Amino acid sequence: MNLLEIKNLSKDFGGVHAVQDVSFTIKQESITALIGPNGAGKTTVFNMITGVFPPSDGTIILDTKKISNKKPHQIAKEGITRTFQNLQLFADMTVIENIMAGMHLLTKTGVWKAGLRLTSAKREEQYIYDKSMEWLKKLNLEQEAYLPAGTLSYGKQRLVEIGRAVITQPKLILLDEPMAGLNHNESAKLADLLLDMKKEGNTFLLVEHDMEIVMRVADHIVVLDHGVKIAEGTPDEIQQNASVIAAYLGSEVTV
Amino acid sequence: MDIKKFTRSYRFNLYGITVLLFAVIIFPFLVPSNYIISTFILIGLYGIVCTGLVVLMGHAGQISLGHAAFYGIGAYSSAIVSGKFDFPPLAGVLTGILIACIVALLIGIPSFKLKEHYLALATLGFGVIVFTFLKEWTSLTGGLNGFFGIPPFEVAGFSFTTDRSFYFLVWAVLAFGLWFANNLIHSRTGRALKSIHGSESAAESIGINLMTSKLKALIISAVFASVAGSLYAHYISFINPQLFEVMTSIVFLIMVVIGGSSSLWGGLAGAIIYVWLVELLKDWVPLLGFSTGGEFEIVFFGVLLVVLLIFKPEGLMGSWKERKSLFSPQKKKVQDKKGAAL
Repeated sequence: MNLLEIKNLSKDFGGVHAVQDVSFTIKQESITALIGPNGAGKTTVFNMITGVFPPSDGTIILDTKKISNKKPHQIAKEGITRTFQNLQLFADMTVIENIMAGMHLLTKTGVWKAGLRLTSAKREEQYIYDKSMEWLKKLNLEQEAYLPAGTLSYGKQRLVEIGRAVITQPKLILLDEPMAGLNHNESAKLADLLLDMKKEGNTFLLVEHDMEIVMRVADHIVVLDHGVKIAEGTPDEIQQNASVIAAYLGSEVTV
Repeated sequence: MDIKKFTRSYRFNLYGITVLLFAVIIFPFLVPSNYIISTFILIGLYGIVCTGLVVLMGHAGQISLGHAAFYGIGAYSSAIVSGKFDFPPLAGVLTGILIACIVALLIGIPSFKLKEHYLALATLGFGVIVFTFLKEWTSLTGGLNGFFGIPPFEVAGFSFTTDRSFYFLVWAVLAFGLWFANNLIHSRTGRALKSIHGSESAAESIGINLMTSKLKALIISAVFASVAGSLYAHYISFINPQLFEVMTSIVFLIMVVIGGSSSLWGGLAGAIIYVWLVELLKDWVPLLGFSTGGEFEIVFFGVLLVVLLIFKPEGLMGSWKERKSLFSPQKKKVQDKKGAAL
């Protein structure tokens, strides 16, 4: 079943056509990778899906509901969360607070209930804490729960960011270069984690440059070049695709 | 692990508030000087304003250069409602709160549509507008001549006429304010505010509405300032627009920066230090051969601020926190495990 449907998506910045007429779909419980050389428009597609800016043209449909032109926090409410290419952690907050902040959408205590510390607020706080702790255990971060998130190693900060995005169990999770800055060992472990989470029913869309990882985790790959979709298919198909090879390595010259 | 450890700082603050309440009750019996009690009334009032600012600045990361205007809105609402129209003082306080909320919305909505620190500019302008308004609308406010004859605060038939009774009132309100702010900081709403401070785009990505969250923080701090202003008007019974000028807003800001905006106690600590330093300066500066003047105060606090920002940028209360975490067992444990991948 299709979870996300992107139809004829375009984005112009002044005269620059950053993304042109891109269409693809994402199936439930799958990992889709969006790849392409630098400047291909991958992050622009991400930013349109998450509402950072509206598309110039085209539609984005999540579960039969049109979500293009919504604001970022509304998109999150619809069930799409994300991580960022350059980590966007709440560095001064502790690890557990970061994860707990991720629970925002699942909870509803407002200013009055919280300020007067009514019983319902206390109960909800306990619920948020328990659920966050559960996730920290899952991510193997319980030892670091009370440290400021900014003091963790890069790899662990990545995990915190992913934890914050998945805790509400959104319909779709966007990961912008999740392997960037990780060493070989760390990225292999993160790839395992993603595959495990897929088995548990999560759906991912990721932008990634590490081809080894992409080929290993992705069920479906979409290739962009100069803002245009040049290919899509399974990892095997993409590896054989002549235009993809041309985009990455240049085409053979026939004399 | 249970939630006890997580709520440690929350409970620590609760103990702090309890100790504070006891100290407040005992204090007047130990120090019967009316002069000292009156300085503590002022500290309490500033403490209320600054605790609101701690929520706005330290947690939501928004800077206001116009909180004296909210303070003034409270003061003039009380003065006019109870002094001119003879309503009970509580009605004046509520009027002030209502107007402060509406005004906070009017300033907040346009300035929060813009990113970064436009609130500072908007509130600066707003401060000037309120000042002019109070100065020029003489039929209602008395203009620069001031507003005379504000009745003492009264609730349920008890009238707070002595300094000592008023001192208890102000510090009870402050304690409630601290309790409210402490609850709020350690809640879903407080975390949402801190998230915005940390990264706006990340906060949005987990479904936090930047506009409404920032508005909540601004309104809460405006209400704190307005309530303090109302009490102030009832206390001194005479007010004029100059008390609520932009300079007063900056003084509030100085207090919060000195005390440390990231700590619940930063506002109160800043108020204590500020009020006492001003009192000491009044006594000491003439000894150095200068004639006393407000100018010296400005120079002194300017220098103090620069020194503080160099050596303890997180404010006096902030540094305590830092030191505590340095020796926490958690940190050591992780250092032992250093090197373990992911």
